[in-house]
Amino acid sequence: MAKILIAEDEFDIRNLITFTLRFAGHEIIATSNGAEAVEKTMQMAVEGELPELILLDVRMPRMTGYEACKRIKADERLEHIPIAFLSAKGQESEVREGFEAGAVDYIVKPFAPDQLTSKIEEILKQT
Amino acid sequence: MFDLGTIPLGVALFLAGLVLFALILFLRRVIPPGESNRRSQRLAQINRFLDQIGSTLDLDHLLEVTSQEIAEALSCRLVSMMLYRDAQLMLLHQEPKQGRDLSWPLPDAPLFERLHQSPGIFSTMDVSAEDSLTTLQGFFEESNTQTLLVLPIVTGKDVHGFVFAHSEQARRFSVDEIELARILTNLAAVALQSAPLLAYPSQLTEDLEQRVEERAEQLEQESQRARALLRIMRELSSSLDLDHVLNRTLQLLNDLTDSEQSTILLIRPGEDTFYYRASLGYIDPPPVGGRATELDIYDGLAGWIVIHREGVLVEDLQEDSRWLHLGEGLTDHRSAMGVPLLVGAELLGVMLLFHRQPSRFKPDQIEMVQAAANQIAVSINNAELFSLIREQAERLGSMLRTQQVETSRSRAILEAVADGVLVTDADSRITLFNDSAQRILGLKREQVVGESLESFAGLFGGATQTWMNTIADWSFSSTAHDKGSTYAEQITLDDGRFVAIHLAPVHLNEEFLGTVSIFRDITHQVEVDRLKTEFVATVSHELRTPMTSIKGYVEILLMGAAGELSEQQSQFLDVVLSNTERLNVLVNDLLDVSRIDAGKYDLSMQPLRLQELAEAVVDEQMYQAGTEEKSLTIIYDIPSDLPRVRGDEARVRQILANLVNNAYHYTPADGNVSIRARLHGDEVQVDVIDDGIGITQEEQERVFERFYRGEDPMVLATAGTGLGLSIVQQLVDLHGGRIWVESNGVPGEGSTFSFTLPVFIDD
Repeated sequence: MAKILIAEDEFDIRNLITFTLRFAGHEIIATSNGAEAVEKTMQMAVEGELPELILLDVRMPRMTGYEACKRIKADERLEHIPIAFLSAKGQESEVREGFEAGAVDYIVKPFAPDQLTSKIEEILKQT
Repeated sequence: MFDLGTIPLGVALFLAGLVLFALILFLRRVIPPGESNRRSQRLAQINRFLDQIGSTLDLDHLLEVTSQEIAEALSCRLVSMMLYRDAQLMLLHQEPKQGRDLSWPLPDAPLFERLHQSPGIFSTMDVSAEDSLTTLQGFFEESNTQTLLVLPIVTGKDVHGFVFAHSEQARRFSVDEIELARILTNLAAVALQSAPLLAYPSQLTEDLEQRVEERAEQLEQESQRARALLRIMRELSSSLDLDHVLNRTLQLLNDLTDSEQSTILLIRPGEDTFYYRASLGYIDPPPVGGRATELDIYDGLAGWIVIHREGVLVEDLQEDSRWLHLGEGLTDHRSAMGVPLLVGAELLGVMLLFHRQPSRFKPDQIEMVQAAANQIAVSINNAELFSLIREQAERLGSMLRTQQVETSRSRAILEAVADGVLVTDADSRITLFNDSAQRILGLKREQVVGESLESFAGLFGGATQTWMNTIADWSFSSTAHDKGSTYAEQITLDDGRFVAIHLAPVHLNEEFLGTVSIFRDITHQVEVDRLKTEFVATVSHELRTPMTSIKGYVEILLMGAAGELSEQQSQFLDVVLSNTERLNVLVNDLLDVSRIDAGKYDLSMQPLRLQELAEAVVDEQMYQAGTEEKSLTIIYDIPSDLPRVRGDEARVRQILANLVNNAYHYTPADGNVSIRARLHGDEVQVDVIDDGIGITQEEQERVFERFYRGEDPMVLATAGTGLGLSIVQQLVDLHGGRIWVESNGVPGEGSTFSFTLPVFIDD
């Protein structure tokens, strides 16, 4: 069971992800935008409680998922944390941009909850 | 009598002068000065006489002077001078002058005969007693002559006449007197003879006169003809209007030859009847420019001239059996004259002159008519040449004008179009640069027209390098392009604007003339496309967000994560889920279409093993069949040694999946779907074969249209947008392949969708 930080501005989807992953047994720290996610991760680093995986939506207010990803990857304390995008933007260029920002995976919405769960298991196993 | 008028005066004077000069020299030597006074007087008289006769060649004057001198020398009352004219002795002068006409013949006398035999001095103191002078008694009585001295006028052996010295009394002339008279007579003889010596015999003179007259007449005729010909030639060259010229010329000819009718018949190349070109007289003339006739070119008088190529004169056509065939009922003709119209060896036709009375023409006219005909032939030839040249010039001029109009129209169109146009010639020199090109490329026409394209490498911006290289390649290598070559590129100018360039070579027949480049400022379209793509992306994102929630929560419910569900609740949630899936397909398809339209499909071409892709697609489809509990056989038929194809993995998989999925949906349970691939030349053909509902011929033409879905209930029952095959077709196109469908439309016999992909060739 892993500690997973998520960033999703849509309330319903944030709850759906949280519910799905908690149902699968994971511990979820939910944030509602990129800036908040970066802030929370840094705070957790200070507390020595780093998340084992970060799931970022792409299009969010205040800070996009790409930007948040870059910032986290720019911090040497945090750079080892695997980051995956979970986005409704599924074009090649967007997916490519996600990987270029340092992501290990890019999950396109809409997703089936069981697919999401198995994908997360896969990422965690790899890392 | 002497006729000095017929003797060349200059010659006579010269010869007489010579003789006299010789005599003077002689006399001055034999009679030296310083002798007696009488001798001096005689010498003085001789000198005077020589001076006098030396200063004249006038016969009357000569006779007068001679007789005066002799009268003085002999101191006699009367001196008569007589000379032979045509063997008749004529009295020509008497001194002093007698009151009657002289120049009358003297009767012959035995004395004259005797003096002819032996020229000497005859003297008598009583003429009436002389037997040898009886025939002259009348003459002597009239002149009251008693004593007579006869001095023959002699040169050499010829006796030209006599001098009579008359005296009324009987007297005896002294030896000195006689001697002096004899010298004077001899001198006079020389002077008198010098003129006749040079005179032509009178018979010859008459002949000459006659010949001169004849010649003068001939000359006059020749002159008239020459003048007439000159007028004809002048007429012929006065105008380029051949009808007018020919009419005027025929008028002149009619006047000149006294003919009533003149006609010109021409032979036109390739025609065997005469062309009636011009006519003047009692026959109706042809219309301006002439008209064709039915008269065979070898028939009749004209035909005779054509065959013999020479002039002919006919006294009376009605009497001459050869010319009975007159043609066109022209029976009025009687006299006729005809000549060929020749230019060099080429026979242009014939010219005929007629008169309604017989024997009106003379043989000597033919020559002149032929001369006129030659000039007319030259004029006709010139006129035809001129007309040919003028027609040619007009045709060329007309073509030129048409081309000029076309050119200026094309130019105006090129200048006016909204697209920029740049034309280069075969040496890649810029020949046209229109307003729009100026605006789009931000260059002045004056800067570029006439210059070589290479000199603008910098001006057009760095992005134009490939375009300029292409033009240079085409211009300097004939093998670098063919008629169908085109080049298209979208470039970004240094100022950020987008320009589409289309380039094509221009050929005329096989010759390379240059290139035409079309520039279109597509900055606006690019912006619109960007906005559209962005819009579609935004919309799809906005649609996916609620769909994510719906799909996610429904699935959680179905998983039972939120508590147990009744069977009916599960059924209803399944309906919600499948419709969500349908919405998802629609959004994905719309996204694909918008990206294909925007030309933004990034294909990452690589070698692909179709076997693996097809296996994955079959596995997925079998999984779907399993979950949907549809019993279906999918046959995989791809040889393991099939070469790799060139394609984008995700897209080729999308193509295969779409076709296999369609086959799955439109084949009833327990049906068969085959996926087969074979190598054909340098491409691989993939066939997806089902034994489902089939597609009618009419529908086959429409299945690749967007949003087209068949009428079959089985199709309508399947989730779909009608975009799938359209997208597949465009993806196949992007891969450089072809796609088609075959079906006989019979349910149960199914359909076969086939597409091709190029075999991957490793560079």
